Amino acid sequence: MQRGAFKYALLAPGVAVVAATLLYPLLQALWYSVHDWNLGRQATIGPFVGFENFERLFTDDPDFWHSAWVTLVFTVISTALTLAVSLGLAVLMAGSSWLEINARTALVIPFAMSPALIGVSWRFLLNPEFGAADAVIKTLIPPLQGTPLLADPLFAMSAMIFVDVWHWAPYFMLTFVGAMASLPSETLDAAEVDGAGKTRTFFEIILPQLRPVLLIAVLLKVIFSLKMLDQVITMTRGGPGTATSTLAYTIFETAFRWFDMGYAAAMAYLLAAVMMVLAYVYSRMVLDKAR
Amino acid sequence: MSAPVRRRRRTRGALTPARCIGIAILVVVWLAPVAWIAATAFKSPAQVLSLNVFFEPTLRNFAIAFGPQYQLGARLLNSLIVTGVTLLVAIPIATASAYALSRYRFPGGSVWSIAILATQFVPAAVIIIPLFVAFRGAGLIDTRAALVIVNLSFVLPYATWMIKGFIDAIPQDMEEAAAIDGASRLRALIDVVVPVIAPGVITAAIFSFVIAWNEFFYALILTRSDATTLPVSLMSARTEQGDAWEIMATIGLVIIGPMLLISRLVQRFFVRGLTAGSVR
Amino acid sequence: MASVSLRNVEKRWGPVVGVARQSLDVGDGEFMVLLGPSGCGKTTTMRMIAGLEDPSDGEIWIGDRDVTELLPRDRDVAMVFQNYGLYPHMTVAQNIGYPLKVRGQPRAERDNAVDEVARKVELLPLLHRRPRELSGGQRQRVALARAIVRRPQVFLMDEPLSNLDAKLRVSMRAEIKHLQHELKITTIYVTHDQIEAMTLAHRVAVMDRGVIQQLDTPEAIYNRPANLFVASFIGSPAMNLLNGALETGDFVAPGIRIAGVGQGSRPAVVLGIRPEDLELCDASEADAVLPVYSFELTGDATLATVAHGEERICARGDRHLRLTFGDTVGLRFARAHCHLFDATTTQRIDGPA
Repeated sequence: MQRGAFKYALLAPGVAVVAATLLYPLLQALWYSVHDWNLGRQATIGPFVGFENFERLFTDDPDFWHSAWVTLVFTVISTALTLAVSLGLAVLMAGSSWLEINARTALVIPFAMSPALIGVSWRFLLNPEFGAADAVIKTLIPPLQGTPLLADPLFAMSAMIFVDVWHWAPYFMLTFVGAMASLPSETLDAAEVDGAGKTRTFFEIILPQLRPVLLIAVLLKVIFSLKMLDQVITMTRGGPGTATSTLAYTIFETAFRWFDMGYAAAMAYLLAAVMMVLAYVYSRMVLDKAR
Repeated sequence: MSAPVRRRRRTRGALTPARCIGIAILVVVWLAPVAWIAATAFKSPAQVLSLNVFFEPTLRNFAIAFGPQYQLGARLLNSLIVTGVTLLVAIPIATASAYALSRYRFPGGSVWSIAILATQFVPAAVIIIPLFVAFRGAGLIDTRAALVIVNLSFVLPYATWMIKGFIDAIPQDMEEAAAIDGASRLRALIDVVVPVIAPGVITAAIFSFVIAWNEFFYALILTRSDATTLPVSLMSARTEQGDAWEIMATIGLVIIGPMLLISRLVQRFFVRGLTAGSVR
Repeated sequence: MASVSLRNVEKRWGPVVGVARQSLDVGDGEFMVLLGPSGCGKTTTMRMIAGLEDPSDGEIWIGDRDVTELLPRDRDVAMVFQNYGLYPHMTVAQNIGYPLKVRGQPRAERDNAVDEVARKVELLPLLHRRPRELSGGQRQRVALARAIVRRPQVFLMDEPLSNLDAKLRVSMRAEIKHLQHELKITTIYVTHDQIEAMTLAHRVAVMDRGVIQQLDTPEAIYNRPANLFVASFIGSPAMNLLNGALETGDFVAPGIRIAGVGQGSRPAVVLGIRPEDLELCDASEADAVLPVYSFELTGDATLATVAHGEERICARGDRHLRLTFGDTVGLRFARAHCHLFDATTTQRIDGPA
């Protein structure tokens, strides 16, 4: 085989599959986004409307901006909490004893669960009549007695964030444990010799060295939060009202409940644009780190 | 004058009894919801409502779930076939692509790697709208083939990225030695590269299995009844007469089952994959 | 067995020049060492000979074949890698036999060849182990065995000893030299270690910044360095280099005058002299009298460092010599071993050497 041809032969099948399953829909969605097309009314694509869908998004759709706000709140709080909790977990069980290794492995179970199952499970656990978690919470915080948690806008959002942290914190804990293990132990020795206490060592020696990993983790969690959809569908269906209607969920409803394909595609592209910027920054960071 | 010399343990972060107990409590609390769901699968509807920790386990939920109303057997088969075929297609292709991207320069440089990574962040909604339209046109709605195709859209880049990470970590010496020893490129790939990266490929396959197995959104949109997978069947326990939580829990257990089995059987690969994941 | 010839070979990566239009002829059966600091282009040169890198320009010949366009496997070369490049999933025997296996040699013949080579490098008892169960020296031997098992036309060795500890390095060095002598296979050996170069090579090519600075026997490279780079790179401790001027054949620097080291006059020259060519003596006989900056006992000698302005001059003295910080000592320069270089071109100026 010709020298150059081999590498292309290896890459070709992958490129073909990605082109068919990703590139094609991406371009096609762009095409839809400049058309008015309600699949409920007609089976083939509707008239070309230029940027009307985008105009409507920006000027005439308070629901969309409400869901953007919901998404922002969810993303910021869930990211901050997840990383704080996972760092705490990492510090607590970073060692290599039998207990710590097995505790870490066990904690990953929620991460391996289907997001849909997580949503369904927590809807059950938070059920006001016979939900186990609901009972525990109301025993710990008596003023909440009589409040159906998922029917209250504030508590529904809190529950989503709580479940998200429960889901993701173990994963990021493993990341941080790995990163902490690869820190040069000399720096810890030096800190000890220099007389730094435990807390000082953590905040002044360990944390600064974890900075690159932390940055990547933040970005990654932001992206995961923006994408989160299965749990909304299975846990709250965006409710009560639209209190937990994230962007992803609003797009889903627009496309597959109201069948407004062109408009949904426009929304999806706006979300995708934000994600792509974040994803680009992320990949640069990962690749630079790999250098 | 002479202050008492403070003696300390020498090892950093030693396991004190307090920390042991803390870790144990944390793990128990963290996993309690999972345990509760698992227990619910063995409760009668009356027991579900009682909130009792102690109950008489029954297998009736499994009988009902696998019976004519929920047809969990068919759902399980769909999940197995869709996930299995996805892996069979994705893993060899991903391995070839990962090797090419790891070892050769391509015009455009790191654009290829960035593109692979970026695919992971495309919102599902963007992809599904055109694919839904296309599958409807091709009569593929509610078929396993459609699910395999959409699964490839996220499994293939994911597996490629992961395997590429493993190949990157292997020094190129070996393949160069094989080239000089007289092996053709394909032969070097099969004789030398594949055996060495096998653990990495297995790890990637396991993780691909997990995400394909758990996939919910695409299957929710693309299936009606014939091709419904396990995660989507969770929705079927939401009936007019109210939610059959014990059935949902049963389905949940069937979904988690293989995962727990995997994480026990191949813990080594599993943990390696988690730490070698995209955050490195 | 064959000669190797590079003709105007160049390697560029975009604007970066790795190897700049170099030509090099390695004779049949010769042991050629490419020596230089990291990034000097020596490894790239070797990888182009192996076929692992394509030259941007020029031709590579092995024997009477132009191999520039050939794949590595068609060049009939064998290579020992810095990290050995052993196949971790194969046993020692499978590793050694792999080059024969891919060439389709029958099993029985192969086993015989492996046994024979394993005996030669004393690996017979280890044939069924895997690389990770071997020590560094043993892995090195496996890599050597794999290289020699099929009697290639050319051996290529890329820093083969750099991952071994100091003691093992010395014994493996002797072993490699002996093997090469016995097999008489043309060998090209890349290293940054001058001792390896001096001890192993028939000829040494000293490289820097992609250019061969000097190509000669080890003796000539040590005794007549062609320029300042070679002068400072070869020798340990390094050659002393003093900035000064040449006045009617005498080297002059502040506080120093060394008569009769050159010819004519030049405003800017560098005088090079190795520590062992400096003699510590009484002030009355000295070319220069300078204060002691430091002194170190190495066991077989005493190294005295004296200060000459901002420059430091190192002299090797008798091992019984004892000095005191701040004392002054006299230095005598051995005239026959003074090297003069042009300060601007850095090239050697040939004196009455």
